[in-house]
Amino acid sequence: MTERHTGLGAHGAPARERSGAKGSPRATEPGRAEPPVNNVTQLLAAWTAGDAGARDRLLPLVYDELRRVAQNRLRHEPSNHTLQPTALVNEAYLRLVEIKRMSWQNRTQFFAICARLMRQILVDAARARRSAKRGGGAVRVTVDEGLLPSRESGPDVVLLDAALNALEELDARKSRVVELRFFAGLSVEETALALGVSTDTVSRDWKFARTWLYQELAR
Amino acid sequence: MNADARRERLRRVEALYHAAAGLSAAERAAYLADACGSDVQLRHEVEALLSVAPDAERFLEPGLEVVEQPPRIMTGWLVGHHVGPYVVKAVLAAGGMGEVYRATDTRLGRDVAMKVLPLAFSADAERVGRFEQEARAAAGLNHPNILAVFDVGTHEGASYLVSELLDGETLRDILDRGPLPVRAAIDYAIQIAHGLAAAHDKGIVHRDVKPENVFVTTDGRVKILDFGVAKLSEGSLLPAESAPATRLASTTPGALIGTIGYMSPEQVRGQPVDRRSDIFGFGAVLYELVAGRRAFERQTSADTLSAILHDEPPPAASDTPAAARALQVAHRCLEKSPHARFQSARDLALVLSDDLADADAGTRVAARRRRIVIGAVLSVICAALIVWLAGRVAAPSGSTRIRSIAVLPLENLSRGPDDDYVAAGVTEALITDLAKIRALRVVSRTSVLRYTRTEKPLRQIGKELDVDAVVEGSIERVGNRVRISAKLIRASTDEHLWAQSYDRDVRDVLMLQEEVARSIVKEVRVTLTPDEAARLAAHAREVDPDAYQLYVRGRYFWDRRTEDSVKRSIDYFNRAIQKDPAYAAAYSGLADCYLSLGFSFDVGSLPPNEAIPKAKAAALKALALDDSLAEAHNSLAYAKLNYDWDWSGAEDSFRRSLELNPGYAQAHHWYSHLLLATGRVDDSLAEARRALDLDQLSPIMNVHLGWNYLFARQYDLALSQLAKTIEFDPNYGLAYWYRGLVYEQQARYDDALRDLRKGAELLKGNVVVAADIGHLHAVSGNRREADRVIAELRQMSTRRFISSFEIALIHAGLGHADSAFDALEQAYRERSDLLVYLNVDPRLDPIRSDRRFDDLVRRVGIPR
Repeated sequence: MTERHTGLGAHGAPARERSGAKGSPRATEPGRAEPPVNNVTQLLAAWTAGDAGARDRLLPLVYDELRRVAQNRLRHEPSNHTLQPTALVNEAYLRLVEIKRMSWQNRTQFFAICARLMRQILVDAARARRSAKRGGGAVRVTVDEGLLPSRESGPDVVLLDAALNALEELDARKSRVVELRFFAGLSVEETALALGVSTDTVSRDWKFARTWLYQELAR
Repeated sequence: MNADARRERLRRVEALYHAAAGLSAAERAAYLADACGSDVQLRHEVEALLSVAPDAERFLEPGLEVVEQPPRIMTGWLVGHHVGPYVVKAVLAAGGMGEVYRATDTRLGRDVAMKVLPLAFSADAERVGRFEQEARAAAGLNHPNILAVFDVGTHEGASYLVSELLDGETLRDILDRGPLPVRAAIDYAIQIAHGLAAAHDKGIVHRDVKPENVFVTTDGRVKILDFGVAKLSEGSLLPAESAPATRLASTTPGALIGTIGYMSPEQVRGQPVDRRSDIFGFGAVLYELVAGRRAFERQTSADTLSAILHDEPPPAASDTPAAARALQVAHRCLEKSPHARFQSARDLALVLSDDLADADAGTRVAARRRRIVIGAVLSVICAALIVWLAGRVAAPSGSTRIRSIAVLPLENLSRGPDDDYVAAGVTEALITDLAKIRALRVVSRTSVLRYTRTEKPLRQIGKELDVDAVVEGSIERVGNRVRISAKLIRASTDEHLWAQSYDRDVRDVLMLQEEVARSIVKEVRVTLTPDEAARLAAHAREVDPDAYQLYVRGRYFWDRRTEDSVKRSIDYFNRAIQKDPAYAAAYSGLADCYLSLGFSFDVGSLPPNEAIPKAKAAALKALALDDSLAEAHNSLAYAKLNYDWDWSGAEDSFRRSLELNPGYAQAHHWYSHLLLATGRVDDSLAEARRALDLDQLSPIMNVHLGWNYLFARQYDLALSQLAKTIEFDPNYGLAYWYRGLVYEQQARYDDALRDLRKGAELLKGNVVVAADIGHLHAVSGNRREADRVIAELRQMSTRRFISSFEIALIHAGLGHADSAFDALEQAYRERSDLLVYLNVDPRLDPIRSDRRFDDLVRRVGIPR
């Protein structure tokens, strides 16, 4: 009980305080550079047309944009640290490409690229926050750490990442299906297109993989 | 296992998983057992996946947000603050849902408890809005078993709730110390149920009923905590004092809601919950209180969740009847389907209170009188069926026509053994009601009884009973609610023609009944006579539920027709009457019992002049109470026939009974006795066949037709009918008895003796069969044995009643006409029922030409 009183008085608005103290300020909204829209669109088209090098040039552009979108989100919604992968990818997509010039295949390809990148970004972010907590949380007193899984909360991304790696070893396609569906928000049809398999296959993979992962994470 | 083997393994697991996923639980187990063979590990893997599959359904759904956990709370930050009129004194408890402080209300000078939400929640306008709304709702819940909420507000951005300050501990603390006395456990449960009932009345669902949320004050009063607050968080209900087993790690994936182990299956699945979800939580608490362990406890949370979805709580030892009953109640609350549970907390409280009272009194004591109107519900169903049938019966198309129907025994969904009788009784009443429609042949109760909980396909049942349609359904009685579900199915095609469920409070049923009665009269006139329609509408009457149960038991024991069973039956009917002195049907049952005891044809253990006046008085009383009761007219008719020898009066009463209920097999059966006795043999056989047609599986109706053939001297038909009866029920004594009599008439004396002895053995204590064996000895030339039987009977008659008619028969068989007539005169004075068959009993042939015989027939008044 005495320990619980140690933090008294200094915490009028702890959530804001904490988020304010965290994260290096990057470019603010007004100062942001315009994303290389045309470039990305062209690269996608070139890649679809068979230009393998186009993909390599595409990746860093997409990655940067995804990170920017993610960090921007974190800064503006600090109290619950919402990171919704689908929303982030969509936002990046809208910023990066010329919608009118995108074919359905191009769009699917773009999201397929995003899936792996998004996964990476989320895992990195989660790791970073974790170490920040361990290091800098001295003022706060833990009462019931993490007692509040809420309806909205998703899985622990770091654990999910590890489980996906394990699944990839056993069945690479299933791991990829989850990546596309969860991290890029592709529909079953889009996933089927991206992977060149039938929608039935995707449905079955998806059904089994998420049950398997769920169980894996529940262990 | 190398990587390839592991990949192969996963493929195998996946294949089995997909194959099993589409199967029902039962099929699944069988399939996996078969497919996995001895590979238990494989089977476990697949089963584990299948068990979490429902939970994984929303897992990783694209578009779901990834939300970090809310920031931790700083404990005790409010101590020393002035919050409105309150001065915060100290921290009482702290947890993820907030902190609880002791504070003083400066206006009233009383100490209160103040619960403060985490700031992260307080910043969320929607959450706070709901919090306040729910907290106000809880504040409106002025109930001694619910924590009283005084106030809500915000302070420096933090929402708080002020409630009464209690001295005591949670039920969890109490349970952790060890088992409770059953009485205390049930007492706590009753209080919880009362609190929940009050909340449910206001439309508030707690959604997190568990020992941690039940507070017991030092003076033993139960208070339910966390109302409203529970609802606020939409199920993320982890409270201040979560016990380790209920705690979820933040890393647990998926949307786990509520407290593991007390969540209802629908909560586990993330489906909408209503108050029946609280009933489940209550059941889990009750189970734990009485059994001393959790209803669902497994090694991991995933296993626990799976257990909630799929497993029954383990049976628990119960030292006392009260504990056993409380566990029954708990099991009922823990049904997987919300529909199968108790539907209201109030009923729960009543049921448990009753049990506690029973435990105290040692016998069943009616704590209160609730009058329910089962008849009214029945009328509703009958009306619906009749309205449906009216169209069909009238329909010109032959193929859709329903001319015959069987009402299968309603399944009793209530767990109490008493309710089995109710289900049986309601089935019978339903049959009785429908049987009143002349255009319909309704198979009677005894014939459908064998289909209780049957697995047979309806098509087969339809064929066996030779009916066009089948009614099946279920009944549940909980406190003052009755729910009956019924459906009408065409037997030949399995086509569901009509289905309806009635779940009514007593008051609603009354209102509904009037409404439906009117619509019956309106709708059914096409095919029913106005009289029939009116009678149906008038059928509903108030019945005390306890009296009703006693009545149904009485009928059950009467059917068995042994001396002991009929005496038990009398006791039940008397108790029913004691409960409900205006219960006409119970008087009619009583009448039938005395008829059985007084007539040698039946049990014959009492002198007619002792038993039958009682029977008549009861029948008349029944008719005074309800002149439209077919059963009572039938009882009276049988007494008039066999005792009063009032032939025209009996005929009138039989006709009245059959007019009131043309489907009453018992009335056809007894009426055929009158027709036979008066020599109208063909009519008699027709009535006996009609009775059998209505009640094909009843041994009594079967054996009666055989007896009828015997007295009609159609011995081959008699033999084949009795053989059928024996085939149907090899232990039915009456059938062997009567077959013995048939063999005797055919002079197959060895067969006769074998069957009579078998009959006597099965009908232990029936002296009439013993006398008939004496008659067989007489006619088969074994005169010494016959004399011995006579001597035995005479000696026995000093101890118990033996009809002199039986002794007369033996003398007649021996050719002793004078002795026979002496005995017949004695039988006349006894008013023996068997005298009405003077003209048809083949065994009297040797003395039939004597003028004394004609004189006797004249005095008995048998019409020519």
